[in-house]
Amino acid sequence: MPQIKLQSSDGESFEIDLEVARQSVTIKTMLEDLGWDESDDDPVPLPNVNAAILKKVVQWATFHKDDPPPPEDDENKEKRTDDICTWDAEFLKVDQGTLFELILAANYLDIKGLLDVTCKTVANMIKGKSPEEIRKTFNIKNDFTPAEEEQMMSCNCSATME
Amino acid sequence: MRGEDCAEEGVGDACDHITLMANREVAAVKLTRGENMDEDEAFSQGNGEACDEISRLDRSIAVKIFSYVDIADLARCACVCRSWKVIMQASSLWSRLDFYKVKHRVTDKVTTKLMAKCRPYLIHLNLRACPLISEPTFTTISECRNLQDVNFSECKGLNDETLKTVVKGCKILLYLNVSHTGITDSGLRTISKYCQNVQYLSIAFCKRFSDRGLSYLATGKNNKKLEYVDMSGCLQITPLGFKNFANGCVNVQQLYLNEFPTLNDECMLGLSALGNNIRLRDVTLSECTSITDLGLQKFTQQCKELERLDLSHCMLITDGAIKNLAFCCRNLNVLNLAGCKLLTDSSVQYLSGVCHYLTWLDLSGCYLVTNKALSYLKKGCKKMNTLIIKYCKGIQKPAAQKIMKHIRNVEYNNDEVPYYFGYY
Repeated sequence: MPQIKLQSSDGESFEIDLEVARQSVTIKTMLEDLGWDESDDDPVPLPNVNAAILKKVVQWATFHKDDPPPPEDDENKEKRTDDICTWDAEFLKVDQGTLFELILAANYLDIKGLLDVTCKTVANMIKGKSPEEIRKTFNIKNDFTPAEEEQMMSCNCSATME
Repeated sequence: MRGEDCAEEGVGDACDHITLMANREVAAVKLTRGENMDEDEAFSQGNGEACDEISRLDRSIAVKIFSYVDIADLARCACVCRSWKVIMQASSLWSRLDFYKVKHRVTDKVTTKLMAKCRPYLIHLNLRACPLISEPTFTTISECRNLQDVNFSECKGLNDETLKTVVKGCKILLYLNVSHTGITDSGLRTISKYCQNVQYLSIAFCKRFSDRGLSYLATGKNNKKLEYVDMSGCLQITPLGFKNFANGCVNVQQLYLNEFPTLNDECMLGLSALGNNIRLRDVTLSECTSITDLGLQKFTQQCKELERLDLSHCMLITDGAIKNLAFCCRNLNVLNLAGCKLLTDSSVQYLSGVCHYLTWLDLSGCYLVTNKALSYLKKGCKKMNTLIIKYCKGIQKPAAQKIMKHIRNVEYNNDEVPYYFGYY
């Protein structure tokens, strides 16, 4: 199987199967544009991804290399977050910083499957929580003025839904 | 404490923020014209310094994350901080309102307030089984002109009148689900008159309309648009009703007629007029316990383009009908024969002999089927990827294990057929 070299922002090189790398639309397009062939030995530079994150991304892409392409986002379909496979759930048991770096990497590399599952993981951290719990989870400061908060409370129709 | 109070106010608050968005647009226009913003607008513009991970993401990614949470969550998110409040204003987050999870607490006050605010963005609306909603809600819905998809299933407040209010306003509806409601012939007449774009229609388990209502549908303005129709459990429909329907709705691609013990051979004969419709692909006749070989033969002889067929729990059908099915519908892709207790190996032999495109087959509870059937499948249906053979006493474990090497998903056991299959 043909191999390809990827170079992280901090200069580390990763040699991986071409098929694994092609899950990234960004890399795939880059290779097509460059007219890459197997004899090419130059690493593909990925200036937006550091070695630690690139390692994780490669690990994910290697595990999912035989997956069917993820379905296009369908506006008409109910979006679920309870369909994360056990391997992914285990894989994403990382600190929040890493999780968000993975999101950024998945977005930059255009790997839809990874972006979907990381966004779902963050959504699950939000679901069912009160604003205060959310603030704690993501370390957010409440920057509303007391007057604004009062304004929010003046609307009472939602009480029936909670 | 502050947070919890705020959560309670969440939904209403979030909908207020949609107005805020509109205000901002006005403000922007004013600015370009060189007009001064008044103080109130300036106040609502402030969004502070965003310093959390989510706020720092690309807006499109942040919106993607929030697209996975429901309205109540969105409402609470809007109370977290200023920058989240701004993210929550993304119109795409408000294109869908699903009240099902909070169905018992949803009142007209809540729905009208929310819908009034997100009216231009609303595309999907689910009011399934919301018992408290009544006229004001339906009136507000009728003002959501961009609504394409609405589910009123099990809404007690939906009747011919309220349905008329809605469909007269929402002219571009594509999906309409009024199953389990009290609509009558007059309601169907309204649908046929005003819903000119509806492609998906469910009137399942609506017991109060008659053949006459159905013929309105079949001859109305949208009869040729209907592609998906669910009439499960509408036991009042007679063979003539089915015939009229089949002759009028000539572009139906998917037809659902589940739980239909009165669907007899005569009805099937009426439905066979659908055979003029070369687009019919998917028919579900689960638990139609009166269909016999004769009715099924009449139907399959006409509808030769079928790709998916569900005959589960149609207990009267035998190998003869399956032979006929196999020879008529050679493009069959998905076939459900669970609970068809009279079927034997020869059914599988016919299917394997002719239907080479079969990828999915359920034979659960067909206890007369034996190991032999598996070898037929192995030879004839090379594309098969799912085979469900639960409660198949006639198939032994070694044979089942052998077939697993050739078919990716095999669900097998040889337990007793459970009582809910209704054999005994």
